[in-house]
This record gives sequence, structure tokens and C-alpha cells, in this order.
Amino acid sequence: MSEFLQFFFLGLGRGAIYATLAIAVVIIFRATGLLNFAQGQMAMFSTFIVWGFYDGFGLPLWPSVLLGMVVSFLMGALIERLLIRPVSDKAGHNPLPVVIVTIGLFLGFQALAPWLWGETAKPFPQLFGSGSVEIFGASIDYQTLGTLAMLAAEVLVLYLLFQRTKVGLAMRGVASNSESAALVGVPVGNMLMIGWGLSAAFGVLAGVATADVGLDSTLMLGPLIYAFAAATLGGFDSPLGAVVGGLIVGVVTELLAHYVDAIGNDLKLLPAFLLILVVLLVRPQGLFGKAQVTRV
Amino acid sequence: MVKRSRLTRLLALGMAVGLAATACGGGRDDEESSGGGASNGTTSGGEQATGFDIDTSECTDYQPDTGVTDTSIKIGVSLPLSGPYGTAFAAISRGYEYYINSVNEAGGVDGRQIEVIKYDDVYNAGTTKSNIDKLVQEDEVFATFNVIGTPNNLAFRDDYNAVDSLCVPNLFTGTGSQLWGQTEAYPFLIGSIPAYPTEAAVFVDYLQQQKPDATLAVLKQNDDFGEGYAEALVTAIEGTDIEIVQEEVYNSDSPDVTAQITALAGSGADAVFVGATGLACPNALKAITGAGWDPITYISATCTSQTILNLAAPEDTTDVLSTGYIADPKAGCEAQLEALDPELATNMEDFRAQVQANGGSAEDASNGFVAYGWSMGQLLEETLKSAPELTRESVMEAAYNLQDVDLPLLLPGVSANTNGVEDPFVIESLYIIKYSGTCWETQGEVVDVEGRTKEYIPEG
Repeated sequence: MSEFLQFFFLGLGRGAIYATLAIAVVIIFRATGLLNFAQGQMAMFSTFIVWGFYDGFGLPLWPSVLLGMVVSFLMGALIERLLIRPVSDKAGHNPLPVVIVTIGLFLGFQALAPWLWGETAKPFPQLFGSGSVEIFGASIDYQTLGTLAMLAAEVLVLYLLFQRTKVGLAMRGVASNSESAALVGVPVGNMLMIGWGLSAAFGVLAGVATADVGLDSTLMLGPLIYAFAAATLGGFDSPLGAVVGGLIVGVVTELLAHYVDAIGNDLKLLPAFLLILVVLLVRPQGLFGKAQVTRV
Repeated sequence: MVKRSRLTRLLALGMAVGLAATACGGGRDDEESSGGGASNGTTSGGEQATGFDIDTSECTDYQPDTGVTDTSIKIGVSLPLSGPYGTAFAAISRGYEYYINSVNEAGGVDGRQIEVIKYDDVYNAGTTKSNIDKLVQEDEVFATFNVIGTPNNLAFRDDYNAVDSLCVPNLFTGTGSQLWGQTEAYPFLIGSIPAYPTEAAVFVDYLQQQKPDATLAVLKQNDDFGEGYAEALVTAIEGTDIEIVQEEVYNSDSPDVTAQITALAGSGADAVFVGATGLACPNALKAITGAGWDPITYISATCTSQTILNLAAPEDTTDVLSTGYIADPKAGCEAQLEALDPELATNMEDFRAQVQANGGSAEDASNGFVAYGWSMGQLLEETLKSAPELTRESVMEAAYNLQDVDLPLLLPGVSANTNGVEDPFVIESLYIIKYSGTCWETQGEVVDVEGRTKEYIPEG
């Protein structure tokens, strides 16, 4: 039992990271109806920026993370304004050109990071320190506990932002129907910029929570796939779905890897992949998403 | 190989395409995949006859003294200077370059300047092979030296170091594989550092003193390197009450070993052997703390450099064990050397001054990889000097006839000794060392397995 619990906790820790990244994916999807394939690589790049503040300028860890989030917010907003919007305006209702741009961003960040900071993996400290506490005969480390707490805080902040502020209301308006929002005076373009900025800023949290295994340009390749699985399962337009989906994906993949020898640690991605397929076939809107209804 | 597994990338690619198609239209995603070193091993065991005299009659087109003139000796090197392993291993080459620079300034080896030509192979065995081709055929080097990596040396030893090859010396390889003991088949290749199985045997010996009925958990890399440890551990615990209770494997492409360590921690074993290298080492140590597990922890000697240990927190690395044969030049750890052997402390001071006098930074002067490279440079000089004539045959015979070569930075009681096929392994004395959180400290006496490394090598 304690062994089961041990891997359950491991999965929760991983799941919290997937959920954090999935939330970033969902924020952009809600605002624009698009998947940002560069989400993981943007988070990786931002984590390098955090590392720069921490290691290069010698700032304490948490201020570095906050500064990294601010810089990433600006970076995300600029990307929307300079790269996404011009293409999106020209493309009209065809989503393909913007998707291609995000894939270009994926490759760009992937190449830019080693060029700027070298290919050697950088040592990144554990955000929550080293150590563990024992619960029901299994131990859960500070990193897992901390990541879960961080996820909870993030969800609370987002809830307050979307439900209790004017900017949040405007963003929801744009997500719901951008034309109507524009007609009632909401600056749609600014809201999209803020959406991209927020997404990039929260992506940093996923990056810094996982970077202690060694920070290099491949950091978020795996987590991005799990995050997509989480968002698919939870529903692409539901932040709550992203959280629940992320935790489920984390726990299920770790338990399967441990208890099913045929999967093991090398084939962990397989269940995530199957999950995406099954959800898309059986319930494309996911657990918490709204079904797309088209008027005929 | 610090990259995530290629499978991850393939699945990532497949999923990206699939999702793009389903959710919002098609998209293609090409991603560069990094080449990892192939791992393949050939093992031929068996006891050989005594005596060592190289017969060059089977060599193809034997050129005894290519690369040697009255004023110079050309030596070729291939090693990772960039890429994930570049930062750490490039320091090794700086180490011997500083030393060779000092030798050349003092007049060289019998009036000949040593000229080192080095190429980057990014730890990719295929690149190593083409580098060596170029070094031998275009640059016409006399010998290759300290080529790093097991698969990398395997990639060219059949063409250049076998008894029926071009017969170009490959001196003091930078890897501890037990494969470097096949002197009869490969007389033109010689290793340098203690073989990985020796390390495993020395650890078991220590564990038996500490806890004779210990249960042992093993983490191993899924290649010759990890298998070498795992098999040697099985051989070493024979006849003891130590029992291996669980073994977990990790892929060298993905250094996150938390799940494996969590599984090992579940066994509650008294001790854990971390047969890993690179980033997987600090990650394993972090995961051990994270799992609330407090075993006697041994890490591979390939993980003992400060560069690697500093990736984990002090509470993760404190009391970790490994084996060592060379003094750690880390600044601030002089007291440990002084206590062990005042002469060694003096030698270390001398090393630091010399490195800086020959163009090295203060950082280099306290880098363990530089100290290793420096010592390899000394070994090269010693070998070239002791060869009766500067022919490829004669230099290999000299390398296989080292008698108590006492390199200044080796720990007390450790020296370089070889004796042909009888004893092909250069360094075979080790200390168990323990990390205090800042410095390595030797534990007890030197364990001398001189001439006995072969006993620890599993059959197969």
C-alpha cells in the first residue's frame, strides 16, 4: 500500500507540473481557439531567463522567478503583437498560418536557447529545497508539496483575475465572442496580448518546477506532451479541466510505468498518447469542456 | 547524453502532428535529434600467455615512426569539446596541454617538442572515427592519446589498434571499461583509469566491513557502462551475506531517475549503488533525499567531480561514497590532503602554480578534470621517455611495462603499473572516499588490487 502511495505521490508531483503547463495552453486556447505548440519551449526559454537572474545576477531564487515571470509576460505579449496578430489578421478564419507560426516559434526557441546559453545542462536549484515528510507510510518530498501548493495558488489567482476584475471580464468577453466584445468597446487586441502574456508568465512556473533535473533546451519536450494530454482530457477551454486532467495524467502514467513492466519508464508517453486518442474519439470536448455546437 | 530519449521525441513529433490535424489543422514539426553514442561491445575473455613483445608482422602497412621527426612528436586527440559533455571534458585536454606546454618549454622529450592536434567529436562515436581517420591519414600523427568514451574508442580500435590493423598506438584511453584489458588482440591500445568492475569490487569490500548482511539496491545505466557495474557487483558479492534486493535501469538519454529511485527506495535496502553518470547522478541523490530514504550511498567514480556534485544540494551529497585514486584539487580542501600526506599537499600546490604559469585560470587549477588531464600528460611524457626508441612498437611496449610510475597527484600508495597481457590495467589501487558536503575524504587504507583487475571482470 505504501508503495502504491509512493508512486501516487510521485505522479501527483509530475501531474502538478503538467497541469501548470496545461493551464498556460488553455489560457491561449480560450482567447484565440488555437493551440500554442511553442508553449513548452517558451517555458523552457523563460526558465533560462530565471536562471540568468539567479545565477548571472546572483539574485535570490524567488525574486528571480518573479522577475522571470514579468519578462516572460512582456515576451508573450510582444510575440502576440508582432508575430501572431499580423499573420492572424491576414489569415482570417483559417487557423493554419498561426499554427505554423507557433511551430516556427517552437523551433526558434529550441535553437535560440543553446545558442545563447550553451548546450550544457545548467544546474537549477530545487524550488522548495531538499527533504521530505512522511504521510501514511509513504514519503512526499518538498518539491512535490511545493509544486502542488503553487498550482493551487495559481488557480486561485486566475479565478480572482477572471471572475473579479474588469480585465478578466473583458478577457472572458473576448473568449466568448470577440466580435460582440469589440462592439461593446472591449479592446480585443489588448486582451489577446494580455492572454499571451499571462500564458507565458504562468508557463515559467512549470519550467522552474521541473528544471532541477538539469536545465537545457529539451526541458519541456516531455511535459508539453503530457500537458496536451491533460488539456485534451480536461477540455481545451477549461482551466479546471487542465488541473484535473494534469493530475490524472501524472498519476496514471507513473502508476502504469511502475506496475506494468511492458510500459516501464521508457514507454511512459504511450499511455498519454493513447489517452489523447481515446478522448478525441469518444468525448472530444474533454471532461469539463463545452461541446462545440455549430448552427446549421 | 543529457538529452531526453529519442522515443520521447518521436512520440512528441507524432503527437504534435496528430493534434494539429485534429484540433486545428495540419502542421509539421521537424526537430533536430541529437546523436547519442552507440553502445556496442565485444568481449573476448580468456587467459593469455605471459611476456609481452609486440609482433608487428600482421600489421597492414606498418609505419614505425610516422609523426616523429628530430624535433617533434605529433600526438592526436579526439574528445567532446562542445555539446552536453563538452564543458566538463574539454577541461581534461586543457590539463594535458598545460603540462605538455611546460615540458616543451623545458626542451621537450629528448629534444623533441610534443605537438598535440585535437578535434571535437561531441561524444559521438561516428565523429570520433572520422577524426581519428583524419589524424592518422592526413595529419600523420604518431599516436592517438586519451580519447574519451567507451563507444568512441570501440569505434576505431579494430582499424588502428588490433594486431592485424594499421598498428597506431592509442595511449591511455579516457574510459574505465574492462574491454581495455584485451592486450593480445589489441596490443596498440592501453587504458588509464581503474576499470569499473574494480570500483564495484572495492565498494562491496567496504560495505562488508560496515554491514556484513547488507541489502543492496542498484541503479544502472542501460549500456556497457551500467552492465559492467551490475555484473561486477554480482561477482563481488558471491560468498558474502550481502544481497542485491532490487535493480532499476535508466536510459542514458533521460537523466531524470526519480521514478527508478522511488522504486529502489521501496525496497528499503541498506545501501544503494548508483551506477550512473552525468546528470543522472545528482538527480539520483536528490531523489534519494526526496524519497525519505537514508541508505549507504555509493556513486560511480565518474560522478565525483565538483562540477557534477554541485548540481545537488549539500544535504543530498553529504556522506556519499565513491572511489578515488587522484587528489581533488578543489580550493579549500587542502587540509584533507595535508592530513593524508604532506607531500601530496605540496605536489598539489606545485600543480596549481604550474597550471597558472602555463596559461590556466585559477578555476582550472582547482578542477579535478584538469588534474586528471595533467596527470595523463605526465604519463605520456614518462612513456615516451622510457621507450628505448621512438617507434610505435617500442612505445606500446613501454606503455605495457610501466613500473611504479609515481605521478605526483595520485593518492598515497597509488601508482601506474603494467606488465603486458599479465597486467594490462594502468591504475588499480583505490581508496573509498566520502564526501563531507564540501570535500572528499579518504576512508581507511588504499585498496590495492594490482594485477588482479581481471578477477573482477565477469565472464562473457
